[in-house]
Amino acid sequence: MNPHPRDERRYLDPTVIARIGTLDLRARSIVEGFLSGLHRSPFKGFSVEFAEYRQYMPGDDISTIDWKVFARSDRYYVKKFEEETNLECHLLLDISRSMGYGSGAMTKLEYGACLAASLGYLMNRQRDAVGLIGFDDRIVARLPPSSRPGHLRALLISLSRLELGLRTDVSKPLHQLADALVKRGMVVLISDLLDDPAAVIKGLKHFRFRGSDVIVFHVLDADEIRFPFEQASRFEDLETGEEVVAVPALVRQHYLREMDGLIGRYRRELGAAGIDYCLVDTSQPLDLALMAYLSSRGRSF
Amino acid sequence: MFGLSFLVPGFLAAAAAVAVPIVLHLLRRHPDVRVRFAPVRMLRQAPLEQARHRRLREWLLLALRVAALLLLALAFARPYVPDASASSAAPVTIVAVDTSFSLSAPGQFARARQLARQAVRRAAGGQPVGLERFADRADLVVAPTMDRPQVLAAIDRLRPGAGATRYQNALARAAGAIGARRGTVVLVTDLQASGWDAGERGALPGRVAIELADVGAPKGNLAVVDLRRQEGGVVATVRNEGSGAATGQARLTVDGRPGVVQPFSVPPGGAVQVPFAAALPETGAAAVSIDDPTGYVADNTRFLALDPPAPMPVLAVTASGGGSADAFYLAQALQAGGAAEARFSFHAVRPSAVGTLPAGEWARDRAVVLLTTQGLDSNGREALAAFVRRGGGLFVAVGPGIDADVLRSLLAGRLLDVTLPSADGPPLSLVPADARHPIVAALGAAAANLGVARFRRVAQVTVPAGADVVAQFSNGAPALVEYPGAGGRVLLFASDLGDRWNDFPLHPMFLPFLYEALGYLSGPRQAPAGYFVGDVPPGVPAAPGVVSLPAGRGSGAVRRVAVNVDPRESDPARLTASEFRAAIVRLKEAGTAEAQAAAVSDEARQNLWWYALVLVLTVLAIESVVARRAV
Repeated sequence: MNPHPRDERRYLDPTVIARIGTLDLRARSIVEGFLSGLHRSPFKGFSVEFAEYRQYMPGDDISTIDWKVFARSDRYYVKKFEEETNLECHLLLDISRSMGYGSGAMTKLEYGACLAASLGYLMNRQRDAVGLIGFDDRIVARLPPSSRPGHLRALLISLSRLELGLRTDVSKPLHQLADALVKRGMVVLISDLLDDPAAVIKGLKHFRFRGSDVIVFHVLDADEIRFPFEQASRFEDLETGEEVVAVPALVRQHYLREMDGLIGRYRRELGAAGIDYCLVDTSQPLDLALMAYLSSRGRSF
Repeated sequence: MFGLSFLVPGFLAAAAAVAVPIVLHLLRRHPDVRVRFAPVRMLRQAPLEQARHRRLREWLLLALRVAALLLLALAFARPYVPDASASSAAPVTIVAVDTSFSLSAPGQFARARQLARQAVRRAAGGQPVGLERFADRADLVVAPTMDRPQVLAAIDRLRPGAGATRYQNALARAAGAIGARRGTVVLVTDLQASGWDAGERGALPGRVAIELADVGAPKGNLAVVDLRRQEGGVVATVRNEGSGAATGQARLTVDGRPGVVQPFSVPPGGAVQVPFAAALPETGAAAVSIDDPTGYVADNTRFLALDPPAPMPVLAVTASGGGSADAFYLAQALQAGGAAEARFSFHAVRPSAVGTLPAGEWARDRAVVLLTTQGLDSNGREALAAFVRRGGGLFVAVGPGIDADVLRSLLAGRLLDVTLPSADGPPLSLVPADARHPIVAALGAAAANLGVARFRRVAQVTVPAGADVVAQFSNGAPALVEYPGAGGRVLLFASDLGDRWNDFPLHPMFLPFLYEALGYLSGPRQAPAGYFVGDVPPGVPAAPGVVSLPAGRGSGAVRRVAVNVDPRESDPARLTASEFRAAIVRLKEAGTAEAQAAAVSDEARQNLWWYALVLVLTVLAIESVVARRAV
């Protein structure tokens, strides 16, 4: 048991995470912090094999108490299980140039990499096989899924080597990967989704068609969500270099309407397709995203 | 522009700063702020500002910024509308008549009146004319007016006085009367050379013309230029400014009674001393007169006050209440020379009696020397403090009799701290610290001899800000400190004036040091033995003679002083008109004090800069509103 759960939880804050040097340490800090903050874990027993008894501690799920043992010994014991899985999970991380934007402590790519590393750490800890695909308008890096303990290190190294790419074309890599999948599994897409929504949704539906569960983490910077600019500025597109001179006060309403429309469309159409959609603000703690994953993971079993 | 003038036109140059927003406007067609952003495509369809509107807004902003800068420069230049009545009025003529005693020779002043009348009549019909009389001082007898008979009548009433000529005052007063207008000064004078002091120059605005009306000078002048007391009588000095030898008789009068008559003979351009052997009274007034039928009248008699200069009363606060023990050397020094020649009169009281001294005693005393505070009660301290507040001088010798706490309460507000020595230290000497201080300056080269004395004990004195260390000991500690403060002067000597802590009284420099220190303490109040007519204090008639003045504040005693004419005025040497004009500086139109004063007055009355500043703020407020919406 972690003696300082509150200290661990501070690693969920992006401003704190940004100060941690290695991705390995970041992922471990995030996951440990996240798990230590859960008072009652509803996520145990996905796939179980009995391991041992342990004396009941306050906070343990009452449903795990072995009443037979209680009848014999008049003491409360809970059953511990060895977790095992044959789940194959693909982490798809968008490394296009638009992911390089960041108004806070981390860019979207850094935040996404942290999220991917944390998910990988969590999956590896649960014996799930996890793989990584980095893409912009094509697949740039690929690490096949594996559940070996040493695979996590390979995953983290791959993540740390990822650099910003070129333009976004989410649909193309999605279709490539969907065609290559041989068994059902889970696909986690981490992207700012600044692409043609129809193409993106179509690519994700391709996975659903192949029987895979899909979770979409729509990573956006706070500036992109709220457009807080005040001064008249030249806005330069990170990917195309296109410049638009605009007075924020005049264009804010239009922008927010457009952004809300984009988010709403993703949420609506992906939901309709059975795809979990999670909007992630890079200024928010990472546990929101991890919670979304675990909720989705829990429903799968 | 709109009849505007500017008090500080140099600030208008700041209007060139309008180039800054114009250049920026031309260079910065687009905002400098660049934001690298991801979802730019969402801005692409936004209703961006129309270019035409933006250009209009930019030009409006530019105009507002330029206007703000121009108005700011205008406000700082302090604009005003000149008073048209002052600048456009008809030229003024000021007739300035010399009434010094150098115009008192027979027929001279009649000639001066005639020239003055001519000047008045010569002035153009529509021009105001004023009348000024001048000698040591200059007075405007009639302010510029169109009433010529009034001016002519005033000229008839003018009489020569006993003052000396001072052209500078005359020109300044005339220029002041003309003010910001154009005008002419007609100077009716004998062009006496002594009217300019050495190196002195007059000043007139360039728009004021000057005309000289030369009265002329007498052929010669005999004058009694000096009279002083000597053993067995008086001696007068008679000077002959004529071209031929002069003989005559000089008459001595004492207290108005005719006395000895002495013949004299003076060579041309020379002077002789005429002694009068007479048994003169100790006090009273004497005068020596001569006859000079052709020269000036006022310098034919010279006056002398026979009263000897009174010694300066110094009160010493001593332990014994007299001049023994701790005050022995002080008393001996102040009474040196005997009662007849002593510069100071010494008297002493015990500290306990200071508070009961009558008011007349305090009014008579010039300075107080405080040697001891033992027994000085609160009444005494308050009496001493009041004496200083009224302008009296206080010399504190920090010796064995001084208590630091009493001293601190006595000099509250001036003294910071004094620590008395408990034992003898290594012998120290006295060194002047401030060569410019009047005490040290009066000692001159002899000040170096102060170092001969040896000081075994000295008090540690804290010198407050503003205090002047006049002398210091050889270890750098302050020795003689003058403390600042309102009222009279306070000197603090950081050792005693006896021989207990030092051997200073045994050295020859003790006496001059003490004399200069006490003389400095009462210096500003030392009354002069005599005055020139032009320098008499307020309340004394500006006429030659012997007058009685109060000797001290509230004491009731009087002293006689002689008032005589300035002997420089007795010299009839003259300037040519060109020499006279060469001594006058012509000021530029805008630089005259009068014009400047009028401009300041107009500007202060109108306060147009306030309106300009309010406009600046308004324009800036509009600019900020427009700029918030501008690209």
